[in-house]
Amino acid sequence: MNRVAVLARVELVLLLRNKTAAALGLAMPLAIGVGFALTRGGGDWAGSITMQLLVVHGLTVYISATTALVARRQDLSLKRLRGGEASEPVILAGVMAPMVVLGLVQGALLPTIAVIADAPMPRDLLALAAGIVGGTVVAAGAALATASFTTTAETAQLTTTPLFAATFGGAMWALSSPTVTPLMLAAPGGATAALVRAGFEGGSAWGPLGAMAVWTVATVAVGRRYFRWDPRA
Amino acid sequence: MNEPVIDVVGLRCRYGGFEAVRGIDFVVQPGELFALLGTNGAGKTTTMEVLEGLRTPSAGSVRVLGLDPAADRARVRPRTGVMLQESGFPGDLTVREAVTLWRGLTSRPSQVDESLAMVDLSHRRDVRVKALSGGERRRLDLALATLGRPDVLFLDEPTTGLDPESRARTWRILRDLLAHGTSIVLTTHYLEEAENLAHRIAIMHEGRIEVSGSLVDVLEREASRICFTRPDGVAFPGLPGVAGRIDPDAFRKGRIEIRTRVLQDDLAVVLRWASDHGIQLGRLRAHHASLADVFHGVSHHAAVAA
Repeated sequence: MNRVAVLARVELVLLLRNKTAAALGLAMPLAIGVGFALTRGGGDWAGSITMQLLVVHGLTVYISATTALVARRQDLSLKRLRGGEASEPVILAGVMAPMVVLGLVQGALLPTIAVIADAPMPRDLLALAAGIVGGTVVAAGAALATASFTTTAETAQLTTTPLFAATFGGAMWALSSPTVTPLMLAAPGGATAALVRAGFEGGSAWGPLGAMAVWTVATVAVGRRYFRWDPRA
Repeated sequence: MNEPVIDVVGLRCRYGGFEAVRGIDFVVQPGELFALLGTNGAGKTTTMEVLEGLRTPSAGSVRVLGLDPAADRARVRPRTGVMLQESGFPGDLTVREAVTLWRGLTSRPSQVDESLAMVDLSHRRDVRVKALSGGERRRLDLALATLGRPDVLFLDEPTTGLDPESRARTWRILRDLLAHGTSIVLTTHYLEEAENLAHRIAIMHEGRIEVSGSLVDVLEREASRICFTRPDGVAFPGLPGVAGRIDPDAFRKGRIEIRTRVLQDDLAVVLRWASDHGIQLGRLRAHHASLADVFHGVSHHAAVAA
């Protein structure tokens, strides 16, 4: 765990030194999230908060972590780290940790801002918290899987776009229906929307949590199978 | 401590349809520097990666410190240092931050200042890694590979890209580590590096070890040489009657090249012949085989990429 913290600290320093990455992972999600809080989504607070979370999970966690993993592979530091004492899961966790922590912090902060801006208090805080945490975990798993098929930090913007965009589609699909079907939960973003709605309007959290668990296991399995440590291999 | 620190038996490595390493065996004894030589593509780096635990062999067994470098990774890694042929760092970190990061990942690390001083990078400690020259990066690599005071050190072309002074410094560092009991496996394209440092040598060619043994044993394999420019008006049959073999190709190109196992005797024959015929031998050289001669003998057509 100590080694994860050592790696995470360095990765955070790098994130702050890289203006583009810092803007993408810190400033943009906060700005967009505050925007959603202020426009209130026409009184549909579950919709607004879902969008806040999708932006955080998408930009701060998914796209930033994918970019970080690919950049570390490209600058050959993953290769070096793998020759040292830290184990492979520790290295990957260390590189992604800052994005995961920032995702959790922003995921907690933005709904709070929404409540201050007039959203009701969630009825089921645990369900909302599950949406914040679960969405972050899924986004980290997806970053590992996507990084496996991304060769450069520049192309990461391209390879992450389909899933990032799909989460908004899946969430809107789930939010538009009075009852959430298993297919909606399985769609990207659908489970996050269902948990936010459960948080504000009530409903079971187990279905969406199950869907998130499946997403996590599947993306990590893809990463385990296809992740490369050497840009040339 | 008679147990070898590295024991390789029947090692084979296959990438898809290509077999990069085709059944090699060797041992490395404690405190010794073992040099793995060969042309590009001979299988040196693949072999190193297996020893480092970064690649699983397709056949054969590898023990490092009596353990499997891949399966017993957690027990082997704290005792080994690795300098890959190519590895990097995030360019936006400073040299000091890079070493500090590596310290945080290492069980028994040296001090940052101490290791930077060792490789003469103290004055560059606050420079970003991306601003370092190739040679400086290589020295940083060495500082990191040795940071954990390893029992076994793997160095894949440690002095490639270094200027002569930095290379000499690296050699001093390696001799010092050897004196303190570290065992080293090194690959290099610089044959004089192996001649200077290695206790034992293996020359790989197309995935196999063609020659191996102590430096003396390896040099013994190749005949000694006597060379001089072809004197005017001398026909091939008129050359001195040496015990060794005179190269007819070289003769046609205007040189006399004699390969012999009895250097002193044949040299005496040549000198007497020259004296009897009143010939001055131009560019006369007589020498034992160098490692370069052995190397070219193994991979006749392949050039040393250096």
